[in-house]
Amino acid sequence: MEIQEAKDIIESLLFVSDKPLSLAALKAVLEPLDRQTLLACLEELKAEYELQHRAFHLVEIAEGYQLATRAAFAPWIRKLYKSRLNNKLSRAALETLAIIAYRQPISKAEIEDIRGVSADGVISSLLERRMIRIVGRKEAVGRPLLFGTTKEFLHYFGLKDLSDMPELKDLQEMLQEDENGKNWEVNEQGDLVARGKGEEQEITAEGGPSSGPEAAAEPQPQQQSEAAGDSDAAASEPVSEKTETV
Amino acid sequence: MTYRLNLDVFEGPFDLLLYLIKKNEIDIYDIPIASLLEEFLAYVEMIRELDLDVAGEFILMGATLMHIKSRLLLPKESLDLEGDVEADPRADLVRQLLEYKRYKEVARQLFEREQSFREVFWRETEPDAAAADPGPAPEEETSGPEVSLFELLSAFRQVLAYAKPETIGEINREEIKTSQKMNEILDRLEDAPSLEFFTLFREQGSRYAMITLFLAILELVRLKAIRVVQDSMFAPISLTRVDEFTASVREAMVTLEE
Repeated sequence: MEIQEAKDIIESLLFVSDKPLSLAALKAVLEPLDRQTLLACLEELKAEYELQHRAFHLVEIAEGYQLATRAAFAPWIRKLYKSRLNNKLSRAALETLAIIAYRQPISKAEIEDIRGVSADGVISSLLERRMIRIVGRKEAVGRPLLFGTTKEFLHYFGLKDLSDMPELKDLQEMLQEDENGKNWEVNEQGDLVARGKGEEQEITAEGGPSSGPEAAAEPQPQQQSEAAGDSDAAASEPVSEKTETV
Repeated sequence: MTYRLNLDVFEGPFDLLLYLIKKNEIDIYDIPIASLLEEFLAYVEMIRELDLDVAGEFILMGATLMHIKSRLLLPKESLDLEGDVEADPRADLVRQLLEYKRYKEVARQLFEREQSFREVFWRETEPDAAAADPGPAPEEETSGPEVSLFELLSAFRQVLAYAKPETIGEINREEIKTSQKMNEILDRLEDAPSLEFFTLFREQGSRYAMITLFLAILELVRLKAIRVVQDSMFAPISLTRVDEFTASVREAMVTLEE
């Protein structure tokens, strides 16, 4: 198969598809084309649309590829499809989604812990809008339902996949940002403790100043690496955040 | 008919705390619990007075703050049995606030993405011929950040402070329905693109009318029939209409009244 031919086929597939086409789906149709060539074709198509200033472009979204109009034409499209406007998400819904995206699978109770309010209403409306789905049950008392985000969620926010989510700040990082925050640190249990206070206490308790700074300094690098690891994880795969004991 | 607004759609106790912290320029790492508690309770009291369905969470947070306050009053040298240093009683609260704040930050970024991807259209299977409805394009939404519930409450507090005290001895409580006020707001927004929050309240004859008006505003915000915007923290607050929903809200209200 010639490259040009492959590109044309891909273009036709993208043209008819009403949802993002995954690489796997494209590959199944274009067999025996290898992944590398496929990706190259997609890149070329993308570049061509840019170069030709087309009204649409090729977007990587929701774990696939899809053609989308350029934002500049939104006013005209809206004129045609007046009723296609959907409800914007509420603040509560956005926050709940943010939590679910990073912590999935997560139960209602865990979401409520973070937001400090009941999540019943928000969860049912998010389920209704198919932004989240039930992914299982937690092996805990009452076997609560666990929620996760959907492809519709990725699509709605124009995200390629979960790693495309905005970066979630690390608690340790937040403390470092603020002059006064530096007096605090996150210990192994994920609790916030006043930095330095333990040190003072160590000195008086041990009666030797030498053990103090050492004891206080020791958890430091570990904390740092943990923090770095977390933000890495958050960048590449927010899901892994669930293992964090916060 | 009484409206019981569920605060779920708005925000919770952490939002109120973060709002107060921001408003009073409090250092989140060194929270003056006593004064924060006082202000927190004033808001909770107001929410209760408006007969909003005040969630137990606010009460619980009030209790937590009181507990922290009492622990701060205890002499410093009190040690745990194991001899550990007494942790700062505020530590857990600060952690929760920070934890919540970072998700709030992500939520804000998601909101921005939502905004920009509303400008992008995709092919859809059912092009919904009926939906193709050439007509005037919906007006560009007035930008300006949306106001939080607590900013609204705070503005409402100011308004009430100016209100004339209810004349004693006169018992002709007018029957003003929240739904009437809601219709009134929508009517007026048809003539003007936006209404100024304080002006609206200044026109009200009584405290009761003000409260009803306030509840009507909250309900319209909840139904997304209006938006309440403010350009900066102390700038005037104004109400703007959201055209797409006005009609459906009107319909819903007719059914409500029946």
